[in-house]
Amino acid sequence: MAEDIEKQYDKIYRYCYFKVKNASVAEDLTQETFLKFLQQNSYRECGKKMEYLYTIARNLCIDSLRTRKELPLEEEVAGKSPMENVELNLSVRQALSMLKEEEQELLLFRYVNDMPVGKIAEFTNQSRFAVYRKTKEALGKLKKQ
Amino acid sequence: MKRKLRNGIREAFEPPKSPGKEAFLRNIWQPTLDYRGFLLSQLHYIRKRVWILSFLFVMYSLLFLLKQTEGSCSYESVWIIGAMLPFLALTAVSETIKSGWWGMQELELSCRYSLNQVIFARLLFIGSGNLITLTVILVLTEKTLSAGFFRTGLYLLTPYLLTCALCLILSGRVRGREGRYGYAVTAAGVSAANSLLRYLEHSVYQPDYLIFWLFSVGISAGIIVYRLHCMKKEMEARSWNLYLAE
Repeated sequence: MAEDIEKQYDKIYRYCYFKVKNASVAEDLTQETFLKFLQQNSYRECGKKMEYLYTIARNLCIDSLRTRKELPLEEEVAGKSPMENVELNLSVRQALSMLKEEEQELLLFRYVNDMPVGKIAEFTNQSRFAVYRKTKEALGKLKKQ
Repeated sequence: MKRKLRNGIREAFEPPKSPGKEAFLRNIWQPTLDYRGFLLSQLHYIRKRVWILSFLFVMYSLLFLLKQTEGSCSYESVWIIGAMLPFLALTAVSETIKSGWWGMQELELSCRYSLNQVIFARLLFIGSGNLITLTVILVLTEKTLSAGFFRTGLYLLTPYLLTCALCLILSGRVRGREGRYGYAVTAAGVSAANSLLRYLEHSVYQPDYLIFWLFSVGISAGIIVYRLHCMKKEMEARSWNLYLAE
C-alpha cells in the first residue's frame, strides 16, 4: 500500500509539475490532491483511482494557474544524467518544448506515467484511436527534431 | 519505440525532487484495506457449510465410484452424481446473493468496496472451489466410463449450470428471503429432471444426444453470463442512486 501510494504520488507530482512548471507549487498541488481524495467519500473502488486523482490534480492545476499567473518558470538542468546522455536529454527536452501542450501531455501519460491508451482516452475524453494517432504523431515530430 | 528515446522522454519529464514527499507520506492517513486484503476478507464471510458440502460431494462421489466395478455401472454414476450437482450450485448461488436475504444490500452498496465487488469476490472464491470439486468429481466419474472427459464433463456440467442459470433468473424476479424457497425448488426440480431423463430416455447419454447436452450447457452458460452482467449494471445504477440521495 505504502509503495502504491508512493508511485501514485510520483505520477501526480510529475503531472502537476508538467502543468504548473514550478516544483514547490507542484508539490503543494500534489499533496492537496491526495488530501482532497482522502477527505471525500464519493469515490467507489472500481479500479479508476488514478484517473480520479488525475482529475482532481488537473482541476487544482487549472485553479492554481488561474489565480497565480505571475509565478516564474523554473528552468531545470538535467544534472543527474550520465554525460553521454546529456546531449540526448537536452535535445529531447528541446524537441518536446516544440510540441503542443496536448501532445506533451499524451507523451507524459503514455511513456512516463505508463497509462494505458484506453485510460488516457477516457481521461482526455477522446477515442482510443484519436489518442493512438496523436501519440504516434507526437512521437514522429519528436523523432524528426 | 527505441529505449534511448523513451528514456530521453522520461528524463525530460522528470521533475526536481519533492522535498516534502517523505514527511507527507509518513503523516498522511491511508485506508488500511487494500484490494488484496479486501478479497481475502471476503473469504471469511463464506460460510463453512459451503466448503463442507463441496467436500461431502467429493467424498460421496469417491465412495460411490469405488463401489462400482469398471463397466458395471455404465452411465448410472453420471446421472446419480449429476443429480447431486444442482444442490452444489444451489449453495453457490444462495451464498453469493445472501445480502439481499438479510436486507443488507443498501448498506453494502454504499461502502467503499460496494456490493458489486463483494459479490464478484465471493463468486471468485466459490466458483474456484466448485471448479475444483467438479474437476475432482469429473476425474473420478470418467474412470468408470468410456465416454472421455469432454462428454462426461458435459453430462455433469449441464445440471450444475442449469441450476445456476435458473436460480439467477429467479433472483431477478423474486426479491428477499422468499427467493430461498424458489431456489430450493429449482435445484430439486433440476435434480429430479436429471433422474427422470435417464428413465424416460435410456439412450440420453449416447453420442447421438451430444448436441442436446452441448446446447444445454451453451444456453445455461449464456444465461449465467447475461444475468451476471445485468446484476452488475443494476447494482451500479443503484449505488449511483444511493450516492445521489446522500
